[in-house]
Amino acid sequence: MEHKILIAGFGGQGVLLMGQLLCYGAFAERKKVLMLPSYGGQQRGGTSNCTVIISDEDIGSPSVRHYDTIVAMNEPSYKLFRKSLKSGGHILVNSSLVKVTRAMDENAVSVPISELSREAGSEKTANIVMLGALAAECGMVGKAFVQEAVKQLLGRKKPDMLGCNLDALDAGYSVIEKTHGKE
Amino acid sequence: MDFEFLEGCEAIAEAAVRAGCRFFAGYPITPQTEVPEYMSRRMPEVGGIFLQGESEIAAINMVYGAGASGVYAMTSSSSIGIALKTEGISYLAAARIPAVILNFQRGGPGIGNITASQSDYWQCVKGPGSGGHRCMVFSPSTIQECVDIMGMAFEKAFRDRNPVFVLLDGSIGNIKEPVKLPDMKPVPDKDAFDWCLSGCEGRAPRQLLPILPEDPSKFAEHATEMYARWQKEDVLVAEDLPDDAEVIVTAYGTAGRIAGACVKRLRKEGLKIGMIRPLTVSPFPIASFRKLDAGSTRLIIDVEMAKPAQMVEDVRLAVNGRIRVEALEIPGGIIPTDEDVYEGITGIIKGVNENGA
Amino acid sequence: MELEYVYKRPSAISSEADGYCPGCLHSTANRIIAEVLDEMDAVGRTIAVFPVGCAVLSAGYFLTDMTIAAHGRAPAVACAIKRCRPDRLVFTYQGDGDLAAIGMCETIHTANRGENITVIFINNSIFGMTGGQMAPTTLIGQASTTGGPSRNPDEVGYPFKMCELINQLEAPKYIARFALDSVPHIREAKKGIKRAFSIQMNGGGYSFVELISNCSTNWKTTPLKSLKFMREKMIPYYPLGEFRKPEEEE
Repeated sequence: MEHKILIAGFGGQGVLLMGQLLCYGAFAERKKVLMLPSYGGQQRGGTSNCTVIISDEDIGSPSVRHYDTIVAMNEPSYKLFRKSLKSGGHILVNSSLVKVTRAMDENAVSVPISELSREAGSEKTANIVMLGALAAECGMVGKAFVQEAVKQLLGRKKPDMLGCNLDALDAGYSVIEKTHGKE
Repeated sequence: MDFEFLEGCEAIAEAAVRAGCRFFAGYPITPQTEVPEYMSRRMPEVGGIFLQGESEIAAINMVYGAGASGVYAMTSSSSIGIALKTEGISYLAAARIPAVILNFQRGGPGIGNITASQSDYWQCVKGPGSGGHRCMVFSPSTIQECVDIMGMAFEKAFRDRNPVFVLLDGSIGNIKEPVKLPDMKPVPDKDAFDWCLSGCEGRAPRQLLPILPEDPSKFAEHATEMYARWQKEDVLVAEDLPDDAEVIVTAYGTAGRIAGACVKRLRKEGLKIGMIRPLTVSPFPIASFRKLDAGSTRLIIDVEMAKPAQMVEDVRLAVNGRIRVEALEIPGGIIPTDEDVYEGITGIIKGVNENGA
Repeated sequence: MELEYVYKRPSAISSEADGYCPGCLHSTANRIIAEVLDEMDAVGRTIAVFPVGCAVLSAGYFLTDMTIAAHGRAPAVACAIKRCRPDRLVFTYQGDGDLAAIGMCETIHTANRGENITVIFINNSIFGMTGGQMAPTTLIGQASTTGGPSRNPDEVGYPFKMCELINQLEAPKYIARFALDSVPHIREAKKGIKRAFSIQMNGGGYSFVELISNCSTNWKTTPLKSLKFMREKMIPYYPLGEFRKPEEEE
């Protein structure tokens, strides 16, 4: 099994952090992992994205023709990368900034990260909501390992935020469970 | 956790430190600037020396001075920066001063582009600088392989008193993978090297001269003998050679990992296919190709991120006409996808099958 | 009767006859450096970096640890040696093509970093080893095989005054120009070299010693007349003196 993921957005949306957390979870589970961060040519204010590949076998190219899953944190990312989605794959969109519904794009899954993060206790956890949705969608990493990665990487720096972060992660998981449950 | 999740540049730099590197001189150039940045922080922590050269030329000559002093010294650059360093590299070879040089290849010629490439195989393997000397050239495919090679790179450089390249590319420098770093090794005592410059108190003066002595054959004979010994003792290669392989794929570095994944896929699909992946391209794994049975193996496909392909010339020399050799050439500056290489390889096989051998 | 040595070969100079042209002042420069090393008891602690050009011949006569750098790169090599072996005396010995043409970048940046080495610069206003081509220091009106019978500043600019150039930088600690045309001047030069080496060994920082020298072969003149050229043409353009020295030295 191999799953190729693209996470895209603008600087400050936690694109690289999401990739990092998913990778930590995956290699704690002894999966093969590769991450390729990519930045726009400009030094500030540009878009950023990262490719994450999780596999049971040795990973080949960091360069990907079609992704199994794409996360679009903003509208430009959706427009730019929609064509790179594998047929049958899903593009998870930040519904606050990407106004695309299932009716408009049957491969799109709206994730209301702003609302759900508020419910989890802090809007700062918006990217963790998306991480939960992504981890659930990709299905390559056990939830316990993703939770452990959040505890290890974020828990130490901001112990008071850990509860919110774990709730946010759960909220993201449930979005996907509900969405795919309906199918 | 015993693994760390590190970017290629950082992991390689840290592995060099742990191998005993205590002198680094570099100059910013994409896609390897993270190496000098890392070393500028790390060297002072371990009592080492970091110098930002005023140019790539100055940096390689700083490494020349540090190596002459008996210190594990390294520089890093990319393609056009290496081009500037080659004068210094030929001086290192002539004066018999050890050094390790990282080359994160980018697209070329000229400024080219900053994306990964394998267009500078010739630059490293075929006598960088002047005078027709050789360097040992390692060609790892994964960050773990890079890290495992760094210790060896310094050991061989100092054993032979000759510059050593680690031939990389922009992709391997910028990807992140889980990596197990080696333990910190003790730094070699620089005064234990009986050739290095330290002041001649109590002994005869030492000279490290990049100038041929009155009898030029002395250096030539030493070098020829050294290159021959490499071929016997120092070849590193990853072979995946089933007995019945009809097709052999060969590639190094990033192309090597992509082609390797493709070979596994093709074998699952029922193809009788094997792989030779050089981990040193100098010395080139000639024996791996020589031992192929021309009765069963009918095609060798060389995959390179360079057009025209470069390593393919060494493959052809090793095969010496016994087996057909084709090249899948991806222009430097493009990192091919798994599908690109899969389609390329199957396309070549199909072409050969249709047109006959 | 016990005889006293009043003059002998410095211990850092080999007994081999040198290969400089007759009358060349490189041998004088070599000798005073070696005398200073003896006086400082520093021969065994010295690492010399020689260049490309006539000055490289010195590598054949010095009995210290040494290397030869690529053309112009001696300061980069020397600064790394010094940083790896900070208790050693490290000096470069470079001609004008090496130091002020191909090596200008390394010369200026090494000085600007204040590397604790000594750069000894032999300025004879011409490329010697390759046979009299125009150097960055060739005087206006001087003949060379690539600058014609008379250097024309409208076409090729003006001779570089290296001490003055380096004197624009903050970091250097000692900058001085001497000449090798006469015994009093040679004595001054030797004092300057000793001062530079002492500053270095006390951890003081970068020192630059320029020695106005000759090249009777490529100037197409006699050794004696070359001394006259130094006095009448070179020294007026390249004024002698200590441009900068540490305060405690004054």
